[in-house]
Amino acid sequence: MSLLEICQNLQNSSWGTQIRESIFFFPIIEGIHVIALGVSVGAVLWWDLRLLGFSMRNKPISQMQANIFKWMMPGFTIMMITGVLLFWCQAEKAYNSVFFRIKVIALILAGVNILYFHLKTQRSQASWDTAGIPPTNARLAGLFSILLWAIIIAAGRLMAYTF
Amino acid sequence: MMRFAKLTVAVLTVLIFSSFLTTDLLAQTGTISGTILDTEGKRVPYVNVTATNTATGEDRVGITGDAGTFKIEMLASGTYKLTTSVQGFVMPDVPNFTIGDAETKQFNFTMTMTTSERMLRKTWPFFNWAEGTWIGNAIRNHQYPFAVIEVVHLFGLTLLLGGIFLMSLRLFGFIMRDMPLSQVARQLGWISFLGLVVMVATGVPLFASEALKCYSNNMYWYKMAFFFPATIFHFTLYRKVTRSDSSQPFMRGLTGFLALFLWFGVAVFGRAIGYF
Repeated sequence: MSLLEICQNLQNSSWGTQIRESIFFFPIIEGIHVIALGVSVGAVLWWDLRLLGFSMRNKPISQMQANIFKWMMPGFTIMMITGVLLFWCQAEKAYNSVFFRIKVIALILAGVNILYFHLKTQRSQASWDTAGIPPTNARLAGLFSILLWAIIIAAGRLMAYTF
Repeated sequence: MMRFAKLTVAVLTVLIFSSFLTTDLLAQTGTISGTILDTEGKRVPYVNVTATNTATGEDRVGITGDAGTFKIEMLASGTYKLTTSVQGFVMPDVPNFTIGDAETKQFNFTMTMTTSERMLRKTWPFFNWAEGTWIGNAIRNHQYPFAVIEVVHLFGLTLLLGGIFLMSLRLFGFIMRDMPLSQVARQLGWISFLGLVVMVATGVPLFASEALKCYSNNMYWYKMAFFFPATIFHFTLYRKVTRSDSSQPFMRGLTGFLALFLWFGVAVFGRAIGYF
């Protein structure tokens, strides 16, 4: 079965059809997706700004992390669940949308960015934990994160349009 | 042979006609129709008029057109209750009526406009004006601006909700407890303020491009019912409590809860405008 066929089957499954055709389900799931987006990406942004040295300079980075991360996770989980449901009911449309492909690539890159930061850059965190402006690698991680999330949001919103 | 064919045709003709007759006899039906006016004598379109058979519970629906008239034909004989529904109007009580075979009954009512509907209609000229502004026309007549402004609107939402969410967590005492509230507010305040500025700056042109659609969209009104209190709250109580280091825990909790409730409401109904 090709990827397109899988997407078609998902879209035409009873769940997919029910969500798509329901008057309330689709808008409500969309509404929750957007709130979770604002909350969790907004929190990530604050963390990214700390990495860039733009805010909370007098706060150790490890403390920021301990404070924010556990509150971001529920938001991301909700975003993932609602996102999967939204994809499910319009999988074929998403497959054919260039914006959806951009979104997926940006999501993967954001994941890679986090992993690289976590596994590589953060190893030396002890030496720059309290620095107002962290070293270049950490600042780049913050910058990439902001850029990638902006692309993910823009591409996600543009999926509704066919130009 | 010829005679047999003629006979067959004659028998068939009688059978067919009698079958019409019997179906007509079995289903005795009547017709109701009428005109619906408001208290100013204007015709009210899009009213759902439902006739419900009091014995069987079966119902039939007619909808008034631009002329304010409706008609329900082939209504089985019986006793009916008549109800109407249309947003913004209250209908007078109509006593149950009985319709007999081939009977036609006329129902004309005057519906009273609700106060909220009357207030709403006063705002229509503003929406009409907004729709016709150059910015509204410019966005509506081109392919890309709406989508691009929508994206920036969403960026603003991320800044605003992110700032509000983190501030609420601090108000609840869940994060950054070792930092005075006013300091956290100073660090986060500009993020949510910037978000709000971006949202208004993009929201106004988006609105202008589809003002008349918004006027008749319930979700738009719900959004505004959350947006104006949210904005007033943001620059009064929220500002005061988040900048004070001596506010009571109860007041902080209430402020955090109100902020999340109001801004989440704006977001949900704002998103829903596109679907209704």
